[in-house]
Amino acid sequence: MIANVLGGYFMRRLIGSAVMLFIVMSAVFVADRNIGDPARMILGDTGTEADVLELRLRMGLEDPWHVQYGRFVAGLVTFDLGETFRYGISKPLAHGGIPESRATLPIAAERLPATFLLTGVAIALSVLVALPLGIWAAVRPRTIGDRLVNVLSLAGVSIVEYWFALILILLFAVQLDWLPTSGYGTAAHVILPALALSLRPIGRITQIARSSMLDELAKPYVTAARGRGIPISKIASVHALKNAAIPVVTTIGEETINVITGVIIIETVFGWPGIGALTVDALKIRDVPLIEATIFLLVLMVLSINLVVDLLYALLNPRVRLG
Amino acid sequence: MAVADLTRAGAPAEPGRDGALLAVSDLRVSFQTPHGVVDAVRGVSFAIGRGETVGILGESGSGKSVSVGAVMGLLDSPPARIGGAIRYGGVDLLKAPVRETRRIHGDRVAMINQDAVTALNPGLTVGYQIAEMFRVHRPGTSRADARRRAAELMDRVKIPSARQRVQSYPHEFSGGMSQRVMIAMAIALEPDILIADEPTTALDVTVQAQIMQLLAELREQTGMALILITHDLGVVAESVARVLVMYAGRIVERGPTEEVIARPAHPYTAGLMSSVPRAEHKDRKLATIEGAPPVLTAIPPGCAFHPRCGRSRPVCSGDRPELEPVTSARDSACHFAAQVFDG
Repeated sequence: MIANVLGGYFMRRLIGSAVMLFIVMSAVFVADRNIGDPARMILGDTGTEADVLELRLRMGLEDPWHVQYGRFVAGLVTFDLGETFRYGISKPLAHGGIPESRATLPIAAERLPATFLLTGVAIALSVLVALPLGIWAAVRPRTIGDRLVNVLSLAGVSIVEYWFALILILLFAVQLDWLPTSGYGTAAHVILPALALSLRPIGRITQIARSSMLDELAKPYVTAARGRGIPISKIASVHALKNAAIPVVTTIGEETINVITGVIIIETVFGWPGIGALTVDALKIRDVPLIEATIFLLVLMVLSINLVVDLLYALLNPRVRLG
Repeated sequence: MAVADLTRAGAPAEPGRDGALLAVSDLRVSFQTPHGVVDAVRGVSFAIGRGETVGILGESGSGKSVSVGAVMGLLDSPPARIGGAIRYGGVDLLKAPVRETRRIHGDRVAMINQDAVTALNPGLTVGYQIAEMFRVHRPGTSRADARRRAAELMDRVKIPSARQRVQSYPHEFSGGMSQRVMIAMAIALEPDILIADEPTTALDVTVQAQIMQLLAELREQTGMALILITHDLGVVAESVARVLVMYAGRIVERGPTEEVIARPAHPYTAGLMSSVPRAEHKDRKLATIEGAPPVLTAIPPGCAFHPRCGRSRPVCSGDRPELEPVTSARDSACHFAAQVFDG
């Protein structure tokens, strides 16, 4: 019964996500076709008019817009988002002629494991630090400990991410030489970028965990549970936390999305070979098909997280399930 | 049963008297607020024996709910300042550590609240919340066993199709059904004393009667004592053998319910009785007590009721009357108790 209701809820959310993906990617389609001639960008100033035309034909840019759009939408469904003529092509662009090409989506997808690792560590770190910290502060309101948590979480929310990343590099990599400045491969490499990414989520999740726990602990059902002799620890960890978890889960979802957008800068700062760094690389060389592929995957990640949050929300709040 | 209760209730409740299950002596509760010190309870003493039924009657602000809050350990200190003693089975609930009082609260002394809907956790199934009583107070009870007993309790408080509704969440229950769930939790461990704080105030009139009926039945089956907090004279008259009348944080009158109602010995009680609408006096204008209850940051000196009292004399604002016997079974805190009693 509950499974059925949840199943229907999940299906509705899934369809909603698909519609959202379609809308976002359509906007990307429109934008990308209004920033100049992609073929000219690829071939540069040295490309001949004939080569540009040939490349335009090959890229389908000479087709009417609705044909192009149809192909684009079909590509979304079949995971074929076109080819890059620039990125990762070993043979440099020769004068005259069309360069070789590679499908963009596999290039972008290759970068996903590194990004998943970094965002996963950052979010896990945030939740593991922020949740206990927020709850700890909530059960001792207006004490020195609580005030300290308040100040620190506010600082976490306020500090600019890339500035903090540079400070981390200067302190731990350059001055103390404990950790590598950049790169990928060992556990030591993930520490600094994950720290840089988790600063804001730690602050935000701590704030929300604290305030929603405070709200819950002031509710009549908490007093009633105390009157039944339920230990305070159990009231906080089971009774209040279950209800406080709803805004906290929402915040964790939002912060995960912030982290995903944050990787675009942080991966670049730390030379982390994820999809964020690839996006910046693709932007630098104005590789439109590759930009589309990276945005497609980033949007897919964001929508998946929203879907998971919606599902958790329904599991946590019995009153949502029928809605 | 009722007769036995009445005879037992005949003696005035003295704190620490033999056989008392719960003895409250000289309970004082005040709260520090931005508007000054609120004196909510100002020296309240009463005791209840096994199987007794006591009503605490008073209007909002009389200190009745704060008194039972102190008994149940629900007042946070600070802001509350609590004095006096509350003894249950040799333990002073005001001084004993929480790990000790927790074995009494919910287990030996249980409580049901005025608003059952907000007293239930919206995020947990009612079955879980009832079963939790066994899991917390009877460690070693298996999950399955606790769940089975939760269903039995829901059946016992007459929740229809209890076995299916164990998995339901509080929002799927009406106010009356929620109060039944609260009662199921309260009687789960067969407490010696059930404290019911305005258990029917938030309910429809027809449901009120059903809940009071259920409480009476359960009391008959288990022999538990009942402390009923209410502002409703009718409920007191029907459900409890003995009544304490509270005004401005003090007990102003106490005695067997029928006697107090028939022949009040305190002007405040007398005022309460005459402000109840009666079918046989429907042509008469309903009496009210002049004035309003005192602001608890500025309680009048002497007898707190004197500014509203028709019998007030200079002595009333000077000396505070103590609770003193009027008859062998009755006490009243009024300088003119005998005159009031004699009408």
